[in-house]
Amino acid sequence: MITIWFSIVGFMLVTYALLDGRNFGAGMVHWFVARTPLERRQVIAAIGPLWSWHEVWLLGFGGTLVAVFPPLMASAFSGLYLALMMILWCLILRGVSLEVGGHIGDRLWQGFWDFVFVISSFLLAILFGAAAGNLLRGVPNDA
Amino acid sequence: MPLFTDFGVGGPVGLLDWYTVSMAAFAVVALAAHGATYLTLKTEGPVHDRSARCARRLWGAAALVFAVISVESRLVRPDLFSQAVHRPSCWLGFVVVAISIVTLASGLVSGRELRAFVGSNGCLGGLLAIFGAAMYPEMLHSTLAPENSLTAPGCASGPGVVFAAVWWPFGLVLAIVYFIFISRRYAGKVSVQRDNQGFY
Repeated sequence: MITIWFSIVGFMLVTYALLDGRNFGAGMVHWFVARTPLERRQVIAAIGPLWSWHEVWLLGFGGTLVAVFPPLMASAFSGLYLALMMILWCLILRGVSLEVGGHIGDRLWQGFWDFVFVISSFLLAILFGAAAGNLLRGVPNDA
Repeated sequence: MPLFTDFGVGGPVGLLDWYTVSMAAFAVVALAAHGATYLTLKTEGPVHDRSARCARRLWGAAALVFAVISVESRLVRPDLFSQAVHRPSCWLGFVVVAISIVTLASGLVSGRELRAFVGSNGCLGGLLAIFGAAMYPEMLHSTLAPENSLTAPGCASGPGVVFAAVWWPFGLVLAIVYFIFISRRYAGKVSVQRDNQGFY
């Protein structure tokens, strides 16, 4: 039974990584593949309607972890508090940049939110990569 | 846990050290390649052409960085490699990754966007599945003492498992139904003119 729940938790995390990973990737290459404001809107339109439901898998992963493996969630939240808060802020900023950037047709406004979108996507990829590294290497758990 | 300590990988480690920084670099390159492959599938015109070029270069770079982090992982956690070799679930993951690499490479070279994107998903998903299967039953390894590591049987909650078993299947069905609906709703290439939500 525990093996099944471990597999379920892993499945949700992998699904989230694949689905939202493509959004982080699109954000990171945004400035390289799209050079005009219209092209940048095209990149954002490719992920715009989809990004929020991809995060359902992250919520499902967290919810299942809380219910099934509470000591793990407690250790991770207390030990990795700084990293988790940084991830949360980057997720918020990326979401805001996607939803707000296109509402006003002003180059300065859209340029600012495009900048936030690119930076938050880079930071999210770095933070999730470092989190994977911490998971593989281990953490200083003393009890 | 501090942001960093002495940049070593043993004892009282921080969030960042030479290994986790390498993993972060791999995540940046691999996810950028994954995103560029996705944009190739979803866009047309100059954005499509640049995305295709970008995807080819980034996957090449991802292969190089992956070779580096494989050697590093062997040094940091040699036990994971021996566990992976002896587990059938990991071999299944190796097969998925091998097939996905061929699918991805042939898709990128021949310009078959969907094939490349399927390969991209299989490649990353297979790698993550191998890591998970190799780690089991450990969920959080302790760098201070192996006996402090959190394992799946050690931190499972009895009432929580029953509670999750009730709501999880409903949640999964909802998520899959929504996945199918939204994938069909937004299938095909996008353009700003055709975007039906207007403000993206």
